[in-house]
Amino acid sequence: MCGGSYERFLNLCANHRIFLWDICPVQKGYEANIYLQDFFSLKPLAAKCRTRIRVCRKCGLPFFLNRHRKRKVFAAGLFACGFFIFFLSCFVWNISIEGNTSISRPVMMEYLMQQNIGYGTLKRTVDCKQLAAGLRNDFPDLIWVSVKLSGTELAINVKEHIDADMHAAQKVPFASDLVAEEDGTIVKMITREGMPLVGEGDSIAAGDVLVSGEMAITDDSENIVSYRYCTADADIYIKTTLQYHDEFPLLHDTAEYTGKKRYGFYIKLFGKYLGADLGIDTFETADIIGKEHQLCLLEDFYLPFSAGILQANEYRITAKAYTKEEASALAEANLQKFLTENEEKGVQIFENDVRIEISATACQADGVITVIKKTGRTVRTEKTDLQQEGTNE
Amino acid sequence: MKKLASAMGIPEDLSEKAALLELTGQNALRVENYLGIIEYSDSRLLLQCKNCRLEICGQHLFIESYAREELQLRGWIEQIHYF
Repeated sequence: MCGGSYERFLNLCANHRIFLWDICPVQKGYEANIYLQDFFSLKPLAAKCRTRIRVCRKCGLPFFLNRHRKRKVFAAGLFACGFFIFFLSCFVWNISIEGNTSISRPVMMEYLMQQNIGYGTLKRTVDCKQLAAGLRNDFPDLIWVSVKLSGTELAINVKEHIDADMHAAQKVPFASDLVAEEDGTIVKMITREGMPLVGEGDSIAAGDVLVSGEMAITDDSENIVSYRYCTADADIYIKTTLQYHDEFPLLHDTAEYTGKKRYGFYIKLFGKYLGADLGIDTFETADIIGKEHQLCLLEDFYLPFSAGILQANEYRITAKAYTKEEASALAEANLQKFLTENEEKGVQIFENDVRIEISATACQADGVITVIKKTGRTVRTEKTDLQQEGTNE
Repeated sequence: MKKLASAMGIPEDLSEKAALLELTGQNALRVENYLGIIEYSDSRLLLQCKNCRLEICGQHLFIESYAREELQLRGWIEQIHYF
């Protein structure tokens, strides 16, 4: 705007509820932004203030479309692109599985393939509820499963049994005994339900019934009149021994990286690899590390286009022999790993009697480890053939 | 009237239409309850309020938005005068 009284013109605009923004003084007037619908009501105001208005630039979709109205191929391309993206959005292009530890991703993917669900499956053919129910049925270790389709991603979240005791502590729906899983001596026993048949200090053998789910009910003359059945439940700790054996040759192969690297690139379209390996396979022995990135428009709108990079690190295998110290340290480390793994399972190490012997060709660790561990396996109670009363099955 | 509004706890920007200024640092100023612009350049903005005139001096001043209710000014604000 230029000429006349600018300030009056601005005030008139404000009073007529015409919104102006980014008003900036220039050499012979002001430059400001205004909405298209407001622009047409400026004429009488400009005439009143004797202000001249000149359009410097037009921005926005209507002007863009008008400016490019002759570019039909471009418009057709835009439309085709939109349609293509819409078409791709009807399929599953990414499957994410989270929360699985013992059930590996390949196992889950194989299961999904059996259910005809995979890369490129039509989204409307995927029944999330049915798939979740199927997973729960076919994988008993899964205690919680959630399946949802989000964008082009099939997200599967699972929760597994990670605590073995939790599994054991589940109530079984029948009368049961607790039997010993291995030989040993009972060091501690707390019975919550059932009839204990052994006590602390008793020696037991594998298969012995420790707590019976069958409780005899006697009359005054101590004759059995009936049996009451229950699910035997107890914490029984026994002292037992574990045989330990570890042996490895002193002569062994080691991989030494030469420092030579080669890189390869590939593109994956609709599950098909289009690669330029650039001589990545020329190394005789090499570690190949791959990194793949899938094109994703929004947070979960994955598309079937991926690009990846492969890195091959060459190594040579050379034969080496452990020194006595190295062999002893390795055997000790293996033993510690074994003990730690057992401790993680809740086994208490009581005594460690393992000897490491190193011969000319091999290193051998043999011995017995005395441990205190929990025992008791649930088995169905064999019912005594007698009239039963008051069972709580 | 002024005393009554004061006794009722009505703020002066409502009862007296006093100019309301919100200054953010030295770069942004929001003004309410003004009547109009008297003069505007990139170093000076003179506003007419109900009871006074307000002069804002600075450098590279530009009006970010201008409506009947409020005005938002940006730039390097150096002085604000009432007279």
